[in-house]
Amino acid sequence: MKQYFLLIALSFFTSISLAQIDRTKQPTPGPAPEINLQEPERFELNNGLKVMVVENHKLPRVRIQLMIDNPPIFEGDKAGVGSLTSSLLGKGSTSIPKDDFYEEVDFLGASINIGAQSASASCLSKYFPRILELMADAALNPNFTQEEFEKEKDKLLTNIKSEEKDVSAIANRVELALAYGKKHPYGQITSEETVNNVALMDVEQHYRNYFVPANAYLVVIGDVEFDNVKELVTKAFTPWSKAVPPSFTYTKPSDAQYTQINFVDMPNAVQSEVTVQNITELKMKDEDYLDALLANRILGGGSQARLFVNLREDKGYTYGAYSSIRDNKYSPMRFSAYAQVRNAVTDSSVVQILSELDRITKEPVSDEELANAKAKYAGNFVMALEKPETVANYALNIETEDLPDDFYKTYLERIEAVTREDVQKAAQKYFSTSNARVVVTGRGQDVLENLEKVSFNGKAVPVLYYDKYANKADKPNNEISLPEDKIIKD
Amino acid sequence: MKRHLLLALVLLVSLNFLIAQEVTFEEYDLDNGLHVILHQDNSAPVVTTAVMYHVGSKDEDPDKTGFAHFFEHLLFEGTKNIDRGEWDKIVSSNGGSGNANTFLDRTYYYETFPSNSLEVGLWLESERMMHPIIGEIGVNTQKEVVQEERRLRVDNSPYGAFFEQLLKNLYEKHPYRWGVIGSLDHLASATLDDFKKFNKTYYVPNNAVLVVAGDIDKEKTKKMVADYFGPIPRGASIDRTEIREEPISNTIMAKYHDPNIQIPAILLAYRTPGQAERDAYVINMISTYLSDGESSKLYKKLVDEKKIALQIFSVPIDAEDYSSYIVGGLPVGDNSIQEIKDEIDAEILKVQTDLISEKDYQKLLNKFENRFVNANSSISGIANSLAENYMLRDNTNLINEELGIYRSITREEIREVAKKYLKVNQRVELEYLPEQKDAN
Repeated sequence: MKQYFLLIALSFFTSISLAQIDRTKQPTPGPAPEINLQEPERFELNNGLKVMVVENHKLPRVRIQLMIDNPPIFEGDKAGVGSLTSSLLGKGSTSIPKDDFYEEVDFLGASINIGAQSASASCLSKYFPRILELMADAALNPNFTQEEFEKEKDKLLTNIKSEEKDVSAIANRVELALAYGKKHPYGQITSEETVNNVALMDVEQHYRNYFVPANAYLVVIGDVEFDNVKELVTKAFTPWSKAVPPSFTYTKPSDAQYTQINFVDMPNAVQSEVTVQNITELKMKDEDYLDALLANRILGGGSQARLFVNLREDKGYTYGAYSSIRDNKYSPMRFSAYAQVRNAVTDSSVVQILSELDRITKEPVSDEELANAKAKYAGNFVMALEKPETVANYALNIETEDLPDDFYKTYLERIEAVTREDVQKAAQKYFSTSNARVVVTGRGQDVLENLEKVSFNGKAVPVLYYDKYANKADKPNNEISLPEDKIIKD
Repeated sequence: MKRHLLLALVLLVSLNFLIAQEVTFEEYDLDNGLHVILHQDNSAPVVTTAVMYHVGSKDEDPDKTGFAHFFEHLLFEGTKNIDRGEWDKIVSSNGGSGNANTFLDRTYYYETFPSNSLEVGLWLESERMMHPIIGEIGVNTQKEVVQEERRLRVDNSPYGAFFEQLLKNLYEKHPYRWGVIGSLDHLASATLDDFKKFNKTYYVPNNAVLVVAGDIDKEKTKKMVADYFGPIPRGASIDRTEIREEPISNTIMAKYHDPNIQIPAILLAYRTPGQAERDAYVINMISTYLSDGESSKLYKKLVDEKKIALQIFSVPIDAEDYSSYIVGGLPVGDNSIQEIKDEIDAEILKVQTDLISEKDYQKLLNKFENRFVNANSSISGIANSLAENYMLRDNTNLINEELGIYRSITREEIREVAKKYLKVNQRVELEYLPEQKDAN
């Protein structure tokens, strides 16, 4: 009897699913998948190195990451020393010549990279013990030589030269210098002059100062056994001497006094790089951290965000328009809204980006926008679980960003709880239209005339001129500096 | 006895390894000709729905280039049941992300979702295939957007024109001769009818493969696939005329001036066999031998020892009818591109004359084993490989067999293939130079 009921119930369901689907409406998603957040296993060495291990045996491979969480470093008139230190690391060790080191790593089909304050390696699990050993040796016992130093310096100088006509590279350099100031680690400019001030001694000094275990984390992810990792890591990293990096202070970056356009002339540009930026102070542990992320998402976080929809889908000015908000526990950071636009619409794009910033601070976002932005964050959170390194990244963030232990366990709930008012408040706090710096890098001959007429909220937006190194400059004189009219036809 | 044990152990280990690596899948055709591939892996709550259409820039009319890439944009503009501007909202409101890309032979559309939104993904892709809206507003907007894409990627980008310049020189008759993004003039003058006709010809189930991969239930998924894609009518069968090029017999010398660069580059390009052919795999091995890793021949000699190159590279670019193999470099300091070319030629000559060493050969196999393990680490990556292996290499199971092919290639074969395809007189030499400028 009971069985019959069951059968009837079943056939009922079947008949429903056999019915014609309704393709005029979006299908309803099923119940949300269950989330399981694995915890890494940990241990710590006497020198302060903290180690996390995430076992994942799906594929026979291992990834190793060493991160040294030092405050940003100002290099001043020796800007480039960090980059050179990074280039000179990972070329063997005091006991293994460079060629033998490269040969062995390549032979095992593996890769090892050592940076000025980091290291990473990946390999098949069967080669893990040897690759860990090689990585530690190269990181802790580097063989800095004058010959390699000269070679890497030449390459760095050639790279700097290669950027001279690269519109994006110049734009990025000037934007950072203007936002943070050239005396700040994130605004400093590496030039031919500063690189030529660097000697091998400086590289060695830089390494000794900053490649230290006080703020270091080692993460091992993949097809490994915890006990084995503990034994091997302890052996390889115990020789690392305990030390703390030197600390220093620098001027806090600040916003422009009034909204202004900062123009950099690039006569070869066929598009203008337009970036509207201001300084924010945002840390992951801030109460309104998720509010700020959602506000940015709705403004410019993707192809359904306002900037993209307005500048690309509605007006066809650009291939893409986005915004980025950045958090950092050490320093105020730059918020930016940006697009690469065709020369003729440079001024209109500036106005449109400013208007979108204005709108999101003055009016609450719609329920639909907020719901979609939340869904996007929730989806990304769920999908990130596919990668074994996610578990490690979360644990690292909790540790280095001083977050509550349940930060990720409550993440979805906290996303869900954000209101339209929270988003508007965050927009008002983190996005500025009254003290914004609008950096435009483009072809003056085509764009300046209209750019000088830009006004916003009834006020003229003055144009100030800068050179490619973010120094104040005179207005470009197009008659003299642009003899060739053959570059652009349309 | 001990040795036998060891052997047994090795066998066991390698067997385990193979099982761990196997990507299982099931494939079948719907009545309308749509090929379907299902891959079930329930280890993470993620699903990818993807459609690859067998249409790329080579299917375009020489006087109407850029269409396939244009459709990559246009087919996000909405369908009969999805209003303009809604597509991306639907994807992200379900927590997913998606995009599309176009190349010489194929166009690929995909979304990845938390697995509870599988049906949404199937609905979206079936709508796109069944009844996309091709209208004035969408066409006009995307014409502007594609112009900006071209400026961003090619005209305003250092070294951005190199591939287009190489294709133009490598092919005389074959439709690979124009770049994927095509001509802005052709797009500007194209009519709505031109676009509708292109859509009707190529974006049909019998010219496509649907892949559903990840956290699915296969039986339920089959039912949904039938519901959403079954009603789409089959298109007319597609005539493809095979165009063969005469082999290059005299080196083609070319020059291009890029206003966005300061450092010149030399690019040597060879026309090599289509990607399904065994020789294409051999070329991949040669490329890895020459330039992958710090101990590779070209890197070690030009960057490390002689210090004449800032960068050295060699890339095989896979395609269906012919692949291209590109070797090149940028000089450091005052060195010239001629010096770089001479050194590259000397290394290629060695591969053509001597067998590569046993040790280097083993190194290559180790590298390919490592790549093989890493290739299938994400659901979206597996979906892409399954679609491409089916459509362009005619064997879906290559996802599991690829490493076996590399292992079967001998050192002698490497030498023969280098001799056959990498001759100086069979290539394009492109000098990619900064714009000449009179001193002010």
